[in-house]
Amino acid sequence: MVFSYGDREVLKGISLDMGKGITSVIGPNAAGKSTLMRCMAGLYDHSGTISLDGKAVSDIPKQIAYMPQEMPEKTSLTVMEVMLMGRLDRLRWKVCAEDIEAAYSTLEDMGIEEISSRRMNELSGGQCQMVMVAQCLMRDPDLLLMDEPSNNLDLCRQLEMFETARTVAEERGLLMVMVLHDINLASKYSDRIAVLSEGTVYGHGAPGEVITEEMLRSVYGIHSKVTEDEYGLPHVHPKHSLRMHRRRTDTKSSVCAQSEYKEGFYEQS
Amino acid sequence: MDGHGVYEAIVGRKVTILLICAAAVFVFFILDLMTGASMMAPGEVLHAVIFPGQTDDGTVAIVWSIRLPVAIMAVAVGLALGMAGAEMQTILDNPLADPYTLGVSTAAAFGAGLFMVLGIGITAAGQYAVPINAFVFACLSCTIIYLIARAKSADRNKIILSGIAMLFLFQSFVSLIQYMGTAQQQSSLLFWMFGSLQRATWTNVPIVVVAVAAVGILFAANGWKLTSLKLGDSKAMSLGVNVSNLRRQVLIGVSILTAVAVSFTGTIGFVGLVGPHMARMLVGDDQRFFLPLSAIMGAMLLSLSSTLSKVVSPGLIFPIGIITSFIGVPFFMMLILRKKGAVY
Repeated sequence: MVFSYGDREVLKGISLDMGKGITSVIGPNAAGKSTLMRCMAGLYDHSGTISLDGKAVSDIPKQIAYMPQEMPEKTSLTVMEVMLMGRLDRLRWKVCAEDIEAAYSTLEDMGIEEISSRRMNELSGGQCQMVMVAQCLMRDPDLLLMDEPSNNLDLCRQLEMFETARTVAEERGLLMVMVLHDINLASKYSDRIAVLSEGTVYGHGAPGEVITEEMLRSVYGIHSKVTEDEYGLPHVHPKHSLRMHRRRTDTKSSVCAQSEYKEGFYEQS
Repeated sequence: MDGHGVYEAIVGRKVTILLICAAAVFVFFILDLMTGASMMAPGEVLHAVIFPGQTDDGTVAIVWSIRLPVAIMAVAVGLALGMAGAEMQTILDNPLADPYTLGVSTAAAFGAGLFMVLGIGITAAGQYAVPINAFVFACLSCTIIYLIARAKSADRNKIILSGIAMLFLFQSFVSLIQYMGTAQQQSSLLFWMFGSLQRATWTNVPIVVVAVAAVGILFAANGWKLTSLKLGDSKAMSLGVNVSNLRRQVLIGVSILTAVAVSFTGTIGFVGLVGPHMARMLVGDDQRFFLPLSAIMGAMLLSLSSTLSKVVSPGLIFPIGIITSFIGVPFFMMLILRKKGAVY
């Protein structure tokens, strides 16, 4: 599929086939990751097709849950009200008991039921994030799209969130796609990884096939060492940015050249 | 506590607040009927309203011909401005938005001024020529904003900026008309812009009431969808809401409410801005409670202002537009200062 913002082509012919389980989309800033997620959520008109089990995603909005990057941190809605909106299509003014029960039990599953009556603007960024993840899960989707779900979470919450995501993906047999910046987290929790670079797919496959020193050099422009962790998964140890390194080297050689020039000047004079 | 317990506690608290505020509106409504050149007892007023046939003609004439249309107009216009402000703040996601942000009231003032100063309008309409002109120009400004909002590239900021541009444009037109008019014409236009409930009659009150009921139903039917806008446009769209369609529908509703209210009462500012803020502080952003409470807060403010406008200087009726700010600002400031953290 192809997508453009006006004249600017952001996704330049993406072709991906994702099976059940967790797929992480990684790539540098402005690679088109969030745009791809919005297209997959059916929010943007694009050329080409995106389908889930043979049906176009725009035709099956109820089977898709999408969590954008932006968090509704300023709203004075209570957590319970936000959760109920996970089933917006069937909500009436009088909310049915089944929906209330589903909302609360999902909060319990996430271990955050104690904040169910608090307003969103009273919560921390991480708590807001957990609520939005819970709302997505409450929709009981077949395709779950999460754009940088670990953004505001501390280390412990990150692990809890990813463990929950993995359990849910396995138990419900759903396809989960996450945009992540932390490559090591992506490696640890994903079945597959898609690497986006300048609006195209650089690579797609199991973490061990995709996360390589060559990929990190070409896509991210960093020098790094990739080792295997105790589970045989790739683990990235970033060394330095190639661009910064080049700039430093250039500056050093320029300083050397200048001092040589000055030495020459003084010798002459 | 289980899920039902948590939900019932949240809803129960909000319903109680709604009922208390609705009762307060009723009390202010009765107070409004009691006050005037001659003060009446609550029992006397209620008796005249419920059993006009068993009450003396003088009291019935005062209550039914003079005070009741004004008191109902105060409540109806308050409901209209409260709802319009609430939904304007919702669809534009801006706490400073209110019906006047779009320049609707200034456009109405320009329409009124056109007839008062230059005699442009439907002269045959007699006493309704000014409100008709005001309504036409209020609708005209709404139509321009609607056309801008319909454009594919329209976003919330463009709508707000277009509204502000309209506000300044019509303000300069009003100034031009005042500049062209005689001293008498200038003062009559000025008084129209101060806002007054005394123009209420049994002909125009039902128009406002019907508009409030019809638009209120439209907003209520979209209650949960409007609530979902607070989660951000992308999230609302992913939940199946056609955000741009919803925004356009609500904009039309807000325009109708504002145009109807302004054309019969003149410019009454502040109510549409403050009513929704008070409501949000008390019940949050869930439209099932936020929308009715914003309307009730508007009605409460305007009903109380109507009473005070008759009490401030006995025998005279003080302009309502001035009173609303006098009583609203201290109350509003008290709420803001008492509230910890963000207020919207």
